[in-house]
This record gives sequence, C-alpha cells and structure tokens, in this order.
Amino acid sequence: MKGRQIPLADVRTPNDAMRRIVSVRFAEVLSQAPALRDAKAQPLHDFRIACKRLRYTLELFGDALKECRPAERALVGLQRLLGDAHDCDILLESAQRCNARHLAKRVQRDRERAVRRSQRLWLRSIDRYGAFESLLALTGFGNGQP
Amino acid sequence: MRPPPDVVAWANTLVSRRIGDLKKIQRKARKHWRGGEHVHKLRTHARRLRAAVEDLRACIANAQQLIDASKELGQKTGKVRDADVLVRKLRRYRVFALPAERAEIDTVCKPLLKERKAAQKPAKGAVDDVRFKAPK
Repeated sequence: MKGRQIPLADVRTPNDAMRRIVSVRFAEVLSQAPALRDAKAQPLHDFRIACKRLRYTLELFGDALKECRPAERALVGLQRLLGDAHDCDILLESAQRCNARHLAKRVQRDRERAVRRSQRLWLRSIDRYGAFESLLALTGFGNGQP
Repeated sequence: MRPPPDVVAWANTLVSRRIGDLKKIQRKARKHWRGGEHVHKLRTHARRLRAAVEDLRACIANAQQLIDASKELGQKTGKVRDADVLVRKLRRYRVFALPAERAEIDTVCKPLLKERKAAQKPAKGAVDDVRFKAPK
C-alpha cells in the first residue's frame, strides 16, 4: 500500500506541516485498522505498513512531538506483533508447499497468538487514556475535528 | 506551488540528517561486510529515509532520486533479510520439535538457505553502489 502524497504548499510553518503530515499518516492507520478484525494476510500487511509509516513520521519529528512517545512505543509493539504474523504467513506458504503438516500447525498457532496480541494492544492504545490519546488530541480525530 | 522557504529548509535538514545516518551505516557495511547484521541496519535506515522523503516530498528537490535509491537498496537486500528472519524462526521451532517435525523444518530451511546464499552478492553490490545525494 502506497502512502498518500501530502500537499504542503499552503502550510505556513514547520509546525503546520508536521501536524498535517501526522494527521494524514494517522488517518491511514485508522482506515486500515479494520484489518485486525478479519486478520486476513494482505489487509493485515497493509495495516502493518501504515503503522510503520506513522512510527517513522513520529520518530522524524522527535523532540517536537514528545507527547506522542507513548503512541510511538505502541506502534513499535504493533509492528513487532504484526511482523510476527506476517512471517508466519510466509512460513505457512513454504510449509504447505513442502507438505510439512506438523510445522504448518505450529506456525498457524503462532500466527493466531500474534494476531490476538496485536488486537489487544490496538484496543488498549486507541481507548480513552490509551497510548494514542495525545495523537488523537493533536490531530483532532478524537473530537470529530480532523 | 512550493511551501515557504523556512518550511523547505526545515524539511531539508530533517532529510539530510536521515541521509547522514544511512551513509554512516553504509560506510561501515562497505568496510567490514558482515552480511545479515549490516543488511538489517541498512534496510531500516533506508526505510526511514524513504518515509521521511515521502512525508516531505513537496519540499525536497531530489525526492524521486532518494526514493528510488532507497527502494533499490531495499529490494536488493530484501531476500537476504527475509531468509535470515525465517531461518531464525525455524531454528527456534526446531529446538522443541519432535523428530517428524524436525525433518519438516529441515526441508523448509534448505531452499531458504540456498536462496540466501544466492542473494548475498547482489546485496553487497547494492551496498557498494547505491548513492544518496543530500537535498539542496
């Protein structure tokens, strides 16, 4: 999934630009989040990429967005768990190709565990007072003012 | 229309910093090539640079060149990294596996190791050749 291009021609200050970029990247994450419900391989992968993109954006602005550190940490966790699930998807294909039934079963179990953990982490983070609270406040998505 | 000069200058500073970090790792990797470990670091730094350029694309004059260079580095080193991750996972599984499953793991591992070996040369080539120019 490609990231959206962000128009910056009308921004006045670096702060405006930063806010706009974070809003677009966070919107991408929110729009991909339903992938966690069905946990199908490709949508989950797209969600992981969106999380990664937002994480790198927050890292890029570093000290200027200190209040978003908890969100950054939650994104690292999500990325790790979703990465595990993605590795399992690739291994499952290889295992099925080689007719490795025992291995496939183990990988499937591992995948399910990684998905369950990422679902829990997402719900905790997006909840009121969760890790994304400052991000919701910054972008205005939490109060219906994007 | 381009963003105001102070926004462009700010964006150039951020991207130049990312390029500096990447070049440092690239220099180390060229000098003492250690395969997997360097590949991982390079790939994450290249991804960070690409993300920064995509975020600030409107302000960066040579954005496309930087995106293409990061993409090339990522693609050419991708197979080595993917194989490393999967083989490591399989080896972890192998510790607690019963004999039947161990045999399956070995079967799945073999082609991955072969692929990794074949991908080493292009990966080293990309580390040596790909260039990143700072924005002006």
